[in-house]
Amino acid sequence: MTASLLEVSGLEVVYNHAVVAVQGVSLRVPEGRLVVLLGTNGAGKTTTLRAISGFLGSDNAEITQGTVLWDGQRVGGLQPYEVAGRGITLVPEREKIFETLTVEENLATAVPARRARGESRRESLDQVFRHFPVLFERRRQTAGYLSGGERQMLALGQALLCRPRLLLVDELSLGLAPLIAGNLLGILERLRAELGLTILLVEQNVAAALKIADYGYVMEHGRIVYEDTAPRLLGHADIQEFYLGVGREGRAKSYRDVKQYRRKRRWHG
Amino acid sequence: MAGTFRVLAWLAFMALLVISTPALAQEPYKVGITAAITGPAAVEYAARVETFRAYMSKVNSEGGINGHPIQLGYEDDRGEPARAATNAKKLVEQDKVVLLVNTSVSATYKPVMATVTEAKTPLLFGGGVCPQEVFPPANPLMFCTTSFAAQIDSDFAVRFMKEASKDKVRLGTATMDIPIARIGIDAAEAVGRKIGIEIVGRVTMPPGTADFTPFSSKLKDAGANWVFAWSPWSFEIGPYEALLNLGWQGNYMLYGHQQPIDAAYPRLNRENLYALVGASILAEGLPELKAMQEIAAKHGASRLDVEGGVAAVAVHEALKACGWPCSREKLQGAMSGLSITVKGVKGGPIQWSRDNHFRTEQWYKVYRWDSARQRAVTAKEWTKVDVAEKLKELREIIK
Amino acid sequence: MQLLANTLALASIYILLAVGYVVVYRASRVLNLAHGELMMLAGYAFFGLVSATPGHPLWAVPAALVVSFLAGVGVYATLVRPMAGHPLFSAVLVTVSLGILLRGLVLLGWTADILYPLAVSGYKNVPWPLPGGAVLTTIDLLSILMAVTVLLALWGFFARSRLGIQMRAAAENPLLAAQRGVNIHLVFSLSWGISTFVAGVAAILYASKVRLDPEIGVIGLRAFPVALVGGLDSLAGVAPAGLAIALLENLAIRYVSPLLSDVVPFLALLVMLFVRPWGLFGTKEEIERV
Repeated sequence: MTASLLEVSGLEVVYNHAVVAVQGVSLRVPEGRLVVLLGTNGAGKTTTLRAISGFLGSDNAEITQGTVLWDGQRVGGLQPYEVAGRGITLVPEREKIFETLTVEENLATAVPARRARGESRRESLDQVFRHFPVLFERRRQTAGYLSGGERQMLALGQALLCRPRLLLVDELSLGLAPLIAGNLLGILERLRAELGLTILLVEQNVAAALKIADYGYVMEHGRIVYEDTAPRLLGHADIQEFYLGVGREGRAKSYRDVKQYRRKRRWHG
Repeated sequence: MAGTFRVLAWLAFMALLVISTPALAQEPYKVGITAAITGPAAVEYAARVETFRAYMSKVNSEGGINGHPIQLGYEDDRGEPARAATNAKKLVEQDKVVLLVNTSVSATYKPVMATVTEAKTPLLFGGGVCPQEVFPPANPLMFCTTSFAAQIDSDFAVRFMKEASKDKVRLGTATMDIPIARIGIDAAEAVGRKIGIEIVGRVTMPPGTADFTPFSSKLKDAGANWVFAWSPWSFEIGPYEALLNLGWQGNYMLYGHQQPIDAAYPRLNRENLYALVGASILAEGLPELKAMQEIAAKHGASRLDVEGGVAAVAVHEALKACGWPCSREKLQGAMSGLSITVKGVKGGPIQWSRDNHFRTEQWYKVYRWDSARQRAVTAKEWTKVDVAEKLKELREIIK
Repeated sequence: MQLLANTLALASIYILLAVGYVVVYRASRVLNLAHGELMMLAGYAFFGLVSATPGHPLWAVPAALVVSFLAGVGVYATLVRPMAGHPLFSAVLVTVSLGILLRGLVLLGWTADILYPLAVSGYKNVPWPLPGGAVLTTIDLLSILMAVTVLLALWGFFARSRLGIQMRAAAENPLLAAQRGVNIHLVFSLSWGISTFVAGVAAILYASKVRLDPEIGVIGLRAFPVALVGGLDSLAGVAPAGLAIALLENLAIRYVSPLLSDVVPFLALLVMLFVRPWGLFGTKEEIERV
C-alpha cells in the first residue's frame, strides 16, 4: 500500500455556527495518485476542499470535528499561507485568479512552497508556458478579460508555480465547453505524471474525471456515500444512472433506494 | 495629686485643640475655572490656566487669603460651548463656587454667562477677549482683566500705523472668521477710513485653514503696504509668514499675544513686524516679570503666561477685599470698586467701577524687532487711552 | 501664475496625505481616520529629533521617516491585525480612538504651544521668484518634488516589483494571495508603513513651512475627500483629485469667498458622490464597502 499523503478522518464543517455542511467525511489520497470527489451541487465537496486548504475562515465556517493529516501532520485549522507553505495548493471554484493583474503578474504572485532541484524561477515559468502556450501569448493581458478556459489555465499555472506536492482542484471544467474541459483534464493527468503531483479533484463532469482518476469518492448531503476505484465506479449502475445519464428502464430513482449507497467505505489499500 | 494631673492633661489637650483648630476651621474660598486646557485653542489658553494655578499655589503656600486657603476647581471645556456650559453648571451649582473664571474662547461666553446670571455669581474673563458686557454700562456680574479688546485695540493700532508710516497707508486686514475678530477688524477699517487710510483688501479666514498662502496672495496682489491682523495667534502669524514667503515687503501689525510673540521675534528676525500689547513681553527682562516667571516655575506651570498671572492677581485682590466670610453678593460689590496694579507688566492699573468692568484706562505699547541688536525694542512707549471717551468716539465712527 | 504656484504647493501636500489613505484602504479595507494624527505624530518626532541633534539637523529627516514607517507597522500589528475578522466598522472606530489618543499623548509630551522645527534646525525657508511673477519657497518646491517622486516611486513599486505585485494581489483577494504563499501580514504591515512614511514626508514639509501644534492633523482631514474623489482604491486618482481640489480652493478664496475654502474639499466630495460615487479612477464595487 502506498503511503497516504492526505488523510481526512471524520471531518465535520459547520457554517455560521448553525449549518452542518460536511459530516463524518473520511478520505485518503495516496501519494502520486489522482483522486476524484464526485457529487451533486451542495454535496459539500467544495467545503471539504476548502477545509483542507485553510480557506474556511472567510466563509464564516469552521472545522468542528475530525482531523486532516498531511504527511502525518495535522493541517486542519491552519492559516491559508501556512497550508500553502506545507505544499498544499487549492485552485478554487470561484475567484481563482487576480482579475486586476495581468497574466504575467498573476504568475509572479505565486510563492514556491519548496525549492525545486536546480530549477530557477525562469525555468518554472517556461514550463508553465509550455503547458499552456496561450498564457504566453496573453501574458500582458489583464486577467479579468480572459475566457473561461484561459482563466482555468492561468489558475493552474499559478498553482503549479507554488510547487505543490498536493494539488486540490475545485470544478476544473465548470462553465467550459466539453472540448476545452477535456483538454484541461488531460493536461492535469500529464502534470501528475510529469511532476509526480498528488491531486484531489472535485468534478461534476464524471465521465471525463473518472477516465483520468485512480480512485473516487461520492458525496451526497455532506457525507461520503460510496467509494471505489475509478474503473469500477465508471461501471457502477447507479453512477451511470445518476451521474452519467444512462438510465435503467427510464425510471426516476432516488439514491436512497439503492442499497449499495448505504455501504460505508471498504477501501483497503 | 491625681486631680492636678488630670487638669493639666485636660489643659494640654485643650491647648492642642486650639492650635490645631485653625486647620479644621480653615474653610477655603472656592473658585472655579472653565478653560480650554485641551483642544485647538489650548495653544492660547492652557498656559494661562497653569500660571493662574501656580500663582494660587503660591498664595496658599504663604498662608492663603485672609487666613483661608483658596480652592480651585478647574474643568476643561476644550473651547466648546456645550462643555463650557456643563462645566459652569457644575462649578456654580454643585461646587457652589463664589467666583467663576472663564479662560477660553469667546464661543463659550454665552452659555457660561447664562449660568452665572441665574446663580448671581461673579464671572471673571481671565484669558479670552473682553466681551461687550464688561464695557460701560457693565453687567454687574461680568468682569475682565485681559489686555486685548477688539475695538479699542484696533483703533490704537490703526492710528499708530498712520503715525509711523512715512508713505500713505494702503491697509489690508486679516481676520479669523469668528465674530469678535470681525468686530475688531470692522472697527479698524472704520477708524482707518475716518483718519484717511485707504483700505485695499480684507481676508476672512475660516477656522480650519491650514494654508494661508492664498489669503496672503490676495492681500499682496491688492497692493497693501500695511496689514493689520487681530485674531487668535495662529491666524495672526499665519498670514504674516505666508506674506514673507511670497516676498512681500510691507509692514505687518498684530496683537502681540504674549508667549508666541516672544518666540516669534528672534525666530523670524524681521524688522517689519509690529506687535501691539497690553502687557510687557518677557523678552524685556523686567524684574517683575522675572519674579512672576520664578513663581510660575516653582509652582508647576510649564511657562509663564502674563494674562493668567494678571487674572490671578485680580482674584487674589478681589477675595482679599471681600474678606471672610465672602458671599457672591459681597464679592461682586468688592470687585466693582477694585483697582489692580501689576507693576511694570501693564502700563497702568486695572481700575473697575460700578459701570465699567473692563477698566477706566487702557494702556498700550508697541514693539518691533531690531535685528542689529537682536532684541525687541519699543516702537511706541506706554500710552494711556481713556476708555469711556474712546468708546464714545468709537460709537460715533462705527455707526 | 501665483495661483498656479499656490495650487501646486497645496496640492502636493494633499497628494502626499491622500496617498496614505489609499494605500491603507487597498490593503486593509480600513478608512484610517487617524491618518491626520499620525502625520502630526511624525511632525513631533521630527521636532524631537531635530532638537536632539542640534549640530546635524539633516539626520533628523531620515530618522523621523524611519520612526513614521515604524509607527505605521506598529499600528497595524497592535490595532488592525487583531481586528481581522471583526466588522470593518469596528476597525474604523479603532482608528478614531487612536487619533484621539495620539493628540492626548502629544499634549502630554510637548504641551499645546506652537513649535517650529525649522527654526530649531537653523535652516530658513526662503522665497524664490519664478517666471510670471510668482513666488514659491524652498519648502514649496521640495513639496512638489516629493509629491512627484513619491507617486513615481509607488507606481514603480506596485507595477514592477514582485513585492509590489504581490501587494496588489493581496489587496484584491487576500485569501487567494495567502493560498499562493504570499505573507499577508508582511504585506499589510508594509502597506501601513508606507502610508505613515509618506505622511511623515508631508508632516516634515508642513511643519517646516507653517508650524507644528497638536491640531495640524486637520489638514489630514482635508486630504480625505481628495482620496475619495480620486477613488479610495486608486493611486492614479490621487494626483488629479489633489490638483483639482487645490485649484478649486484657491479659486474660491480669490474669486468667490474665502470662507468657502474650508468647505471646498467636502463640496467636491458631495458632487463626486452624486455623479460618480466610486471616484475618478476608483473601482465600481468598492463603493459598497465605503
